[in-house]
Amino acid sequence: MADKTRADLMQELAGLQDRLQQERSAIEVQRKAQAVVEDRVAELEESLAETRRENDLLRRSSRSMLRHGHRSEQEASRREDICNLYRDCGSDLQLRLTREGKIKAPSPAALDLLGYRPEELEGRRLEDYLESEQQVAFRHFLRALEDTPGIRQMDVRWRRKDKRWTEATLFAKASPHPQTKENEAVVLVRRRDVQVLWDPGTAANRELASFLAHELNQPLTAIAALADALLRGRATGLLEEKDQAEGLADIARQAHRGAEMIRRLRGLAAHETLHLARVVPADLVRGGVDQLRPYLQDGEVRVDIDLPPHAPSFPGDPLLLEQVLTNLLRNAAEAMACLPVRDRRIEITGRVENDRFRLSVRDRGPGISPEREATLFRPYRTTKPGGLGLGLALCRIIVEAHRGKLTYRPAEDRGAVFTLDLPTVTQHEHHHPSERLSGR
Amino acid sequence: MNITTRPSVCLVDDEQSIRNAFRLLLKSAGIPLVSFPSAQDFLSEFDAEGVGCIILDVRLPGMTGLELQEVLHQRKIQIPIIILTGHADVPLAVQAVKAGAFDVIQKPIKDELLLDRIHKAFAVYAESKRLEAQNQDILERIDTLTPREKQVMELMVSGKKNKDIAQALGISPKTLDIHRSKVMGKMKARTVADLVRWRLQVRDVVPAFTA
Repeated sequence: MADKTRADLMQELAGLQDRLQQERSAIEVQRKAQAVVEDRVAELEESLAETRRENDLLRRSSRSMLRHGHRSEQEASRREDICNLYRDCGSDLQLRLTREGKIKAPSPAALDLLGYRPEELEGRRLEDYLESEQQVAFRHFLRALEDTPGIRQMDVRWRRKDKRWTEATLFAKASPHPQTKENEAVVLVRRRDVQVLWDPGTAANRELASFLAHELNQPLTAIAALADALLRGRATGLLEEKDQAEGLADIARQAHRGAEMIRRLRGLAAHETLHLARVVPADLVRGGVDQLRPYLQDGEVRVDIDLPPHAPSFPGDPLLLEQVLTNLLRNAAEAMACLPVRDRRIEITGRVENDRFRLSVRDRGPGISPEREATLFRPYRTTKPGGLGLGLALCRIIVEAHRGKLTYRPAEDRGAVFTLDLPTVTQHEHHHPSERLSGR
Repeated sequence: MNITTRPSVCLVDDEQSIRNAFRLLLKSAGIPLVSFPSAQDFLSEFDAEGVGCIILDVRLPGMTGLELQEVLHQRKIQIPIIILTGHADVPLAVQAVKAGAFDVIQKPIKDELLLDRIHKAFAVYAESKRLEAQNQDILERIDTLTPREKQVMELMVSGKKNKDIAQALGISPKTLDIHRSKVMGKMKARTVADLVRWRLQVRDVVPAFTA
């Protein structure tokens, strides 16, 4: 039994050893599998973290992109505002203004316009440079700016460094600072052509002044001579009853004429400078024709208007230009008073070419005689009974103040053509506005 | 000068009210007025007969008063011209007077001054017409002289002594005496002084006869 036992035991041992080996292998496999799983888990975890990170990054970047997109939208609208400001107003100098009215970032043009280098103006209060009586008005202007979305404008006298004054117009629009969001305004400063209307340097004005001195004398001369004549006639008995009555009537007429002349000139003198704004051709024509209505009541006059559909606006004094047009239309209507109603026709034609806007008024009246043509625009020349002869002379002054021309030519077949020829670009618009804007 | 030959005034002014005022003013002083609204009307219709003074507004349409004055000058119209200026235009006034204007009057006019100047202009024109008639007379008398008598007159007028005149002409004193009395007689001169005065009066029209 011992041998059997020993052999049995040996066999049993080998079996046990095999099992142990198997168990060990199994454990090994299990361990390996565990490691693989663990690796996988770690891997997954890592990828999850990665994804989270990416996610986060994406979220953050998308948020930033959103924010960024919003900001550039704001920036675009601000830029557009400024562009509009430029287009509508033009400028010689641009700056920003804090809500306290301090100057920020003035453009280099300050030197030219005001004699100050830009850095000299930086942080200074704008109102300190204005005439004292304008300072309160300026503060109101500044306050009103915050409440109004549009462009506001104000005429100012700005003291230059050399103590002289620059007449300027401020065009301003509220526009929060892009980064700090502080309330600020974009301000364009444009030199105003002062006294252009009455600039004694222009030929038309010299002529007017000279004629004023000379021709206001005319009614006075007549009155004085007539009164002298009547007095002398009483003494000498050489004037008949008829002469005396006529003399008195003439004295009255001349006195009224002189008074009317003074009244008109005073009215015009109130208009010392051009108040420049954008003149829209269609509005100008409509305004002029509307003004004419009262004069048309007596007789029908047909008014035909031919304007290009999208005639661009141009800088000018809308009120004064309308007066010019009204004057021309009234002359045209009066020139046709003797025609049968069906023949009374005024043609208004507008044309835009090469930075000029030309507006013609044509009537069907008898036209201007060649002798009259030479003195047509001279003051106090009139063919109208009761007229003062100021109309065309003043029209010419107004048009020339706009650096334009007012001309006459006879119409091809019949009638008179008066043409307003106006520049559509201001003198100071040498540079294209957008160039200046991109320079900032 | 009686009332029927009273000279008239001619006015050129484009302003109807001024023409009318002048008409009444001059009428009240008994002076007739003819007026024109422009230089062109004036030039085409003007008749110098009986006009003693021309008044021009310095500013006229088409042609100024000064230009018109120049035209009148070219046409040898001697009638005194008064220029009306609107305001104290000194250079213009100077220019007008230099160009031969009789006077410059500023508007508004003072009637006394105006009438005074008109009367002065009348007087000056009458005097110049009288002188002109006299000149005509003298010229006609000079025309009756023979060439030799004209030589004698020239030498007499130049103040030469008889002896020198005779010598210069190579004639005897007796012959000279005959020429002298012919000259005095034909010229209707009582004294040599008359002869000198008249000769001088027409010196611009008749150049000296060479001896």
